[in-house]
Amino acid sequence: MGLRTRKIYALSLLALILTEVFCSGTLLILQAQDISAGSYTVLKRYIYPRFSNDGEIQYLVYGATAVNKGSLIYLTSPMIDIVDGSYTSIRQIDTIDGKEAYPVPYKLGSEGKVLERFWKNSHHRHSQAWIFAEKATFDKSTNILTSDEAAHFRSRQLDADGIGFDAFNDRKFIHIRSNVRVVLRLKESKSLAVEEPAPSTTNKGVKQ
Amino acid sequence: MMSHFRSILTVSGVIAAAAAFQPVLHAQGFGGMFSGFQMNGVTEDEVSATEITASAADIDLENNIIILIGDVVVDDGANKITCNKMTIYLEEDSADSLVGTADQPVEKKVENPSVVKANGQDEEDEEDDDSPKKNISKIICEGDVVYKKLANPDNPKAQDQLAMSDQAEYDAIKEEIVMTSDPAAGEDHRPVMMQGSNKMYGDEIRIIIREGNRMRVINPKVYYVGESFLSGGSKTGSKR
Repeated sequence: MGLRTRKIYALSLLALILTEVFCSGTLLILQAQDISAGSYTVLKRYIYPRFSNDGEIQYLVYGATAVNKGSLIYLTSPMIDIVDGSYTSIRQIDTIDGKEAYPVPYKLGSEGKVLERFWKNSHHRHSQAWIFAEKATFDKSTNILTSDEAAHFRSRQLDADGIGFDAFNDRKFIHIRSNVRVVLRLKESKSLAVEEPAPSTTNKGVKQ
Repeated sequence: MMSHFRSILTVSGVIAAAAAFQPVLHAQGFGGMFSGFQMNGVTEDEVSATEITASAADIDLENNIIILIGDVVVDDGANKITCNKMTIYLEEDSADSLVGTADQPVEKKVENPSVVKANGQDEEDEEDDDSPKKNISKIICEGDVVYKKLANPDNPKAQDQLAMSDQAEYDAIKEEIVMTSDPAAGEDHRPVMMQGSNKMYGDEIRIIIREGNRMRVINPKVYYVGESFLSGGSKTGSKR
């Protein structure tokens, strides 16, 4: 084997090694991208219903975007509709269906017609309360929604604004972390009350 | 003889002190503070929303309890109450929803209103107030409860009035606010009312809303009515 042949052999071997290295490297990168893409889902203008163990809807989450990474969902402009009543299908509820969006529908301390427009609207009649925020993170494993941003809680009996919240949705328990301002009302809560929500008899949905 | 005379003086002083407090006590109280909470005996126009600020809040929708924590302040301009913790209890008010008349019997609707709307009916229904409603049944304030009733600015002789206790409870059914303290906590924690330099201690301070927010001190033990009375009256107890 001459010198020239040995050089060619050595260069071929080097090229093979380099090719293997780069190819495997590329493969690794692609794999990483594949893995990332597999757990990284982006939803826009979504409705996310959450059911109890009894199969009843506990709440609905609406929002601009939802980015799912593992067990966490990162929400922008989320609106949480805490449902009152025994609904077993989202089709039994007149959802807002993208007709409304963050920010909050009315300011803290609003009265009269403003409140009536919201709470007597068919999209909110099934609601026990709503929570609005700029951003929030939902942990699917614990069913807890958290946010460090400004939070707005709205119900017929009281409204509350504050900074940061933790919503323990299984227990319908909301902790507002700081700077809380609450407006309590009774007259409005009476006049804003609507018929006790009942499962639909005209548009039966399938238990989901 | 001397001690008998002194006791007569003391009793006279107590009566004088009570007389001095009485007109003020009848006129004031912090029932008005919770006017947004009470419905009986007031017109709808008189009822307004009440704004409260706090450091944090827990809203328990399942158990109908709202807890406000840290630097709780209720201020409606004329009245102010502060405490460390305020717990608001809501209860279903189903009684009036089940009361119908011969002309207007109560009908229980069975259809889901939202679905009815989806089937082509009007979006808003103004006539369906016959549902169970939630009322505030009671409110408990805990920790350094201070009530302040601001003096009428039109009356130059009027003074702000303060009441302090460890706890206050508003009972919506009885329409009373009761300010109490744990007797075991000692003299310094006894409920006290103050106006100017006057102080009145008692086991309880009761504000009876249905009697025009009349304020009543239960089992008053010590009166301080300015420095002049201190020299003639018994000086027991402690100042806050």
